[in-house]
Amino acid sequence: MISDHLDEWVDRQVEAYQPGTPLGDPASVVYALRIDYDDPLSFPEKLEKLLSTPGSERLEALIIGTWAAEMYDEDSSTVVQALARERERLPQLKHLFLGEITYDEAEISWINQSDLSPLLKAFPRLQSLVVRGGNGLGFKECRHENLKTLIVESGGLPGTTIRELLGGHLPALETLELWFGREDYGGNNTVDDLAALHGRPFPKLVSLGLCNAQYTDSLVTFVTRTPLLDYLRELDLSLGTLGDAGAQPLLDDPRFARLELLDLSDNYLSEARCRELKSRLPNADVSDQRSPEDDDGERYCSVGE
Amino acid sequence: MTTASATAPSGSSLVIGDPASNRLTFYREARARLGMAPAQEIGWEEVLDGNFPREVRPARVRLESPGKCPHLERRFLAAVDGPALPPVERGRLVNPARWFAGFRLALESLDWDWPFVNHPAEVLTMFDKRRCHEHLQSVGVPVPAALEGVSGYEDLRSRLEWERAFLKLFCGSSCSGTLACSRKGDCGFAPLERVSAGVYFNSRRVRRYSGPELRELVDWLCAQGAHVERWLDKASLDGLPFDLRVVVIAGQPCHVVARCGRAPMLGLHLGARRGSPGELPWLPALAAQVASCFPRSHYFGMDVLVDRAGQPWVLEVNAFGDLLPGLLWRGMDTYTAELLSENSA
Repeated sequence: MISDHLDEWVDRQVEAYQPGTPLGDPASVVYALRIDYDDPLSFPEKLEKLLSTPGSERLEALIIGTWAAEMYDEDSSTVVQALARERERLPQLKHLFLGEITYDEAEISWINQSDLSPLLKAFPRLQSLVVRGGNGLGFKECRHENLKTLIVESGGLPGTTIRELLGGHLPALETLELWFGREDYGGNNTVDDLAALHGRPFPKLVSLGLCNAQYTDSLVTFVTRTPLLDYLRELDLSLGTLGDAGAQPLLDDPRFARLELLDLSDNYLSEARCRELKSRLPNADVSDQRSPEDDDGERYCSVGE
Repeated sequence: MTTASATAPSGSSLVIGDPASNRLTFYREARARLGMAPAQEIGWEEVLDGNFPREVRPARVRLESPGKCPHLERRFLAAVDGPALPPVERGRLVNPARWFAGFRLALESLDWDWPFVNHPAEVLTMFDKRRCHEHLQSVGVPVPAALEGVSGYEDLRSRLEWERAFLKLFCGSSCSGTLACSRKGDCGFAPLERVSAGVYFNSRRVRRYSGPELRELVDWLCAQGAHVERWLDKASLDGLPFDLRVVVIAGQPCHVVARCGRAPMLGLHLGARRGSPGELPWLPALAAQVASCFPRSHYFGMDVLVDRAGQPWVLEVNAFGDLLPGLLWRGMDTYTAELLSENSA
């Protein structure tokens, strides 16, 4: 549950954009465009206000939060089209966060995304793209010469979207993080959707996140059967369902010890297993383990009123 | 026929409820606070067993919520003939229509000539959202437009003229079995966890449904019996959408709490935050108007939505909508206020 807005992103202070206020230094401030429940402006209108402010052409980073007063049935295509249309006015855009939305504003599994190919086409200088929300998310033409970081956070990522991404032409990609989510939240993905990783689709990739998965055990095994451990420096398997038995390959395959960071936080590992892992893999993060029973408190008996 | 509970002298107050529920604790405390003798307490299970005193006419009978106990819920289900029931699981929506039939049987087994604080006939009307809506509408209470007799997903799609609709199990409470549907998004939102086809649990987490699972859910709700009405846009309080829970006692609005949040349904148990709504000049007249629909009921909980234009709409009336711990009106909690009012009537 993501309950807080970012204070900082890409080494810049985050500020909510208020129409009428002058812009700060683009090297130290990143503006967040959010449409509140009572906002008199629509997203395209607020974007227009921002881009009419002196200095906006020097903006290097941009955060997009809620893009409508009610997020139930507004997908991100309005945002994508508006940004793509205005690309000439954001020539320096390097970092974009599409969907910096807290749980209170809209649950991650309610967020409606869209095909983001137009963004890749419109912003050739883009280095980082973070997306939150998996519903309807697409990368139909996944090509970008300069993208270094791609992070997709979701409660359920369609298998087809994963394949689109892994089939993409992203020669500069160094960091890739995917949240798989759950099937009942639209995450109809399986380990098979990662087949492209048996090859080496992204020559510069050094950091990979396979997070928020219902089958982290299988992901561990999968990783050992690909060349990933021969070149990755960081592997993130956090927010998953890795249990003690599934963690065995981490001890058996010596290549895991070569990773500079192995993030195993927020899984289902026992204390004993964690101690074992830490002693063999000093670069492993085994903090904040959960227990499967923790998840049943949501059910309630009705007949209350 | 003697009962397990102590026989009371004639003319004492009787409360029928779930002995394990905190509601009875609040009720006992309220009576004690007012210097009243404890009421005789009878559990709903004893009513279902036919095991309670009928010879002595009580001075007053309070009907308290059938409670949150899955085993008690099972007793109501089992009171009605039907297919074998699955094992008891907390929060599972087994067959709400059948539960309601069992609850109705229990109410009908009581003596309807007794002096009820809230009469069983009216409790049943309040509980059935379709009947309640009709009843309110017939005296001109502002209620959202409704679509009657929706039989399933296809029927809803073909008849729906609004962009958004709110489906509710006709006999649900605590937002159980509610589904907020958007035509544009072809999706619905419900505080419900789907484990597999037809296996649903009430959930504190409002989830989004689309595609075949949405269709299945709509079909299931309609098969149980659903009330369908227009999903209205809420006004905002401190930047957040809100609606109101009002406890009406003797026709007057007493306790009022705003429920604030961005979810389509704003239950306090679903994460909505409490807010203070300020002046609501239209409220006394609205409360009186709704109360006039239930002349044999001393109190009820009323959910009101104020739309963006400032127009209030009554969403529902709850026979047991007074569980609002910590909310005071004139220094009194709901139970104390109800008792005081009853006894000065």
